Amino acid sequence: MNEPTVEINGLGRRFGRLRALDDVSFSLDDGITGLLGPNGAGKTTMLRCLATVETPDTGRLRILRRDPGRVSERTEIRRRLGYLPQEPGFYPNFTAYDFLDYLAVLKELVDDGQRRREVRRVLDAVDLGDRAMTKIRKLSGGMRRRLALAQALLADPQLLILDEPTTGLDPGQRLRFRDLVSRLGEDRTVLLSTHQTEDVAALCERVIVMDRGRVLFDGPPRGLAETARGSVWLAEQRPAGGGVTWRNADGRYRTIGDPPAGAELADPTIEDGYLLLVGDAALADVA
Amino acid sequence: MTAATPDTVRPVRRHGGLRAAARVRVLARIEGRRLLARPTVLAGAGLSLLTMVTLTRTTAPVLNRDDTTASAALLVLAAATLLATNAAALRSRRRATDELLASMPTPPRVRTLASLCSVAGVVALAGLLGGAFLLWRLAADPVTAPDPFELLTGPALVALGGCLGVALARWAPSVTVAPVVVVGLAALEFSVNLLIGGSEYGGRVKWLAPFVGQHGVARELLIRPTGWHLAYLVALVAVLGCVALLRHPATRPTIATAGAAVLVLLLAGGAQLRPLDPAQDPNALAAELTAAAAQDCEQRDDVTYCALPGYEPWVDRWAATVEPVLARLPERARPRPLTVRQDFLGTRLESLADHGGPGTAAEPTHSEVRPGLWRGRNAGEGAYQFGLALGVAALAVGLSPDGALSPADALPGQVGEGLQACTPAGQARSVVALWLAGQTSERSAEYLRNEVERQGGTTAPATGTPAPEIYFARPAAHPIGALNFGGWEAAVAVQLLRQAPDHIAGLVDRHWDTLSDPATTTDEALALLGADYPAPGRPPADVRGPGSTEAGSSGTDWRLVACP
Ligand SMILES: Nc1ncnc2c1ncn2[C@@H]1O[C@H](COP(=O)(O)OP(=O)(O)O)[C@@H](O)[C@H]1O
Ligand SMILES: [Mg+2]
Repeated sequence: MNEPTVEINGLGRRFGRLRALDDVSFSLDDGITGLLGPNGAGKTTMLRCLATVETPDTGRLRILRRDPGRVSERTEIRRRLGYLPQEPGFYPNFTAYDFLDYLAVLKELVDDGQRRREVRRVLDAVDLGDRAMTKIRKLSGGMRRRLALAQALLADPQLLILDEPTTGLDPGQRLRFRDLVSRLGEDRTVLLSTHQTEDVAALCERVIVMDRGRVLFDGPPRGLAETARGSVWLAEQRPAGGGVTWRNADGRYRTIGDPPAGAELADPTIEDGYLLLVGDAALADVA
Repeated sequence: MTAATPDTVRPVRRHGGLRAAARVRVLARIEGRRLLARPTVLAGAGLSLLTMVTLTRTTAPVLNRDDTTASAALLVLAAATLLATNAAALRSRRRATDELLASMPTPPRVRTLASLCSVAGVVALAGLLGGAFLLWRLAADPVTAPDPFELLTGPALVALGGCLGVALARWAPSVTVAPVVVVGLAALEFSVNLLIGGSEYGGRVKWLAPFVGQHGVARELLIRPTGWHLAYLVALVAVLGCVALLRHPATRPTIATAGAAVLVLLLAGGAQLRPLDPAQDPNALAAELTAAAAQDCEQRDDVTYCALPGYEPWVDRWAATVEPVLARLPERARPRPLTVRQDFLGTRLESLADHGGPGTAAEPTHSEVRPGLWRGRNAGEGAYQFGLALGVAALAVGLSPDGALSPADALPGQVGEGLQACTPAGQARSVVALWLAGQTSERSAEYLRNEVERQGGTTAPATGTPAPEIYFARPAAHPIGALNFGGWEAAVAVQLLRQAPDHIAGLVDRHWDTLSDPATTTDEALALLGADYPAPGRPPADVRGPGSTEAGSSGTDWRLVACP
């Protein structure tokens, strides 16, 4: 029987009365999956559970065909895991190289020569090869994000968990990031969280939309766009009624929801589908 | 998408094995290097070295004292190491990488163990510093032998600081804790080593402190359980290491090590607290070591030199200072027999509780000069030579130690017993003695010149006497220990030193009987020796000649009398 890389069944995690994760179920296999949702949706909590640094209260969780609740299996999972936390800390007095070197030891790369090659490899992968000997305190924000990504790639993990990896990257870096991640996704499982639909559109074969701890959509990005078919309108005048409306670059007004007077139906995008799904929460995010 | 079967899972690279030991080794190396590059540690190492040098620069190497000095100086590095390992062990917390590190296959225990092991680098540095210091001292005609346990104590203190820093980081994870602990430990060391005095310093409980100094007491008279103390420190290091590790799920080796370490700690800690055997009474020991029979005495011309065991190389140095004094004396004025006998004067003796206080060595005889356990070197050499020569010269001019310092009745308006000190201020013979001492060597003369310049014309605060006095280093407590020389006479001696020594020696020879008479005044000496009276004025009349003068009522219980 083939078991998926990640299998989540009825997962729940509460913080006091708050349900950060509420009966979440899905499974993952090789390829890139985007976890999309507004702030506070529970994305980070979900990813932390998968990175074995958070323990769910309820439900069944299997990662890399192992049970993270058992110490020895958890260690096996961690050996095959790359995790980029939403707010990874840095050691400002370490050079980029030293930081990765240190983390590589924690990833059990104890042979000096192999570790050196591996650190060099991941530095090159994120275009930081020429900054290896720069102290982290002297790296720009974008460089630090790339350094954080580099550490997740150490020891060639089979499961990559990236929490908002594109935050803080400029358009050029974002492009290079997409190139790198898409290549990584060819032969491993990548789960990345974002609240930016462009990332999903550009990278992911699959998107999971979460809000208030629940999964609202799970399918291909095109499918997410399709959920909005028949609900996206274009009008020449600002419509009077409710719904989400904004002015496009071409000067027309795009509305999601009930058709305003004199509007014509438009082709939906992923963003349309997402906004229709998460509604108010997304509005708060957009604003 | 096809799901992979467990069999097709790409094998994770197990570069060289997953054993925790290998990771601890590599991490400890990384942490150790970082520790050695930390400004705190570098500053601590520099300050330690500076302390060693500063504390010993002006004295000749006495290795059984220098070993303790090296350990004392390494306390600075130990404190710096405590702060540095604490900061390193708190790094993931301070920089919020705990979550990232938690996702790694290496448990936090391994990092703690590596932090503990990383201290080895600084311990080695401490050993190097101590070794370099010892070599430096060995190169300068050392006497006595160092205690190997004492030498290892310094590095052990550094290990202690390092492991304490890690243990604190694990159990009290806040950056404010370590500085507070350092201040607390500094206060402990201060009270153990600098506040404890009198009969208390014989107390054994002080040995529970990390470092116990020598309290200025001769090493020969101290019973220092250095071996037990080292074992105690090493056990303490192991206990602290285990305490740090027990923050994580306990492993069998940790528990076993902790058990063994606590056992050794109790054993060694108890052993060093054992009360002293009354048979080891340091007063008896002092008397025994200074007894003529016990000392290896050497006869040179008319002088007998007796050094304590281990100090024999100093005889040459003493002779080089004593002989120039004798050479300038008229044949008939040379003190005979003259003995230069080393003893413990100037260092307190550790007393047993029932002795109630520091004891004294055997009473010196009148024809003895008694140098103590230190010898001046570099900037301190002139003072040493001058002081020793002054001892010989004082004997030659008849300044007897009798009455130099003796109990006196309570002074008017004061309670209890006072002390009576004698001063040759105003007496011609003190000019002669000071000149004799100053002319022994250029350094000696320079010392006298400097002291006159520095102290000239001041009134000694200790006595409140109106006569300006001058104080000298007193390497030979006997016979000049309590003699208070006058500043005027010292200034005259400096003047005489500018003239040809043969000329002055001729005058001294011709007028010896007058000059050495206690009744001859400084004024008369000036005429006989052809010197001018130095500015700024004359000494008060009432301290010239025999008779007594009472110290002013400035709250002192000293009575100053003219030397008989
Ligand atoms: N450790 C925690 N303690 C209390 N509440 C938490 C904790 N972690 C997350 N939460 C709450 O759980 C909800 C989901 O948070 P999170 O998973 O970080 O969302 P997202 O990453 O989607 O923005 C939020 O309301 C957040 O405040
Ligand atoms: Mg988040």
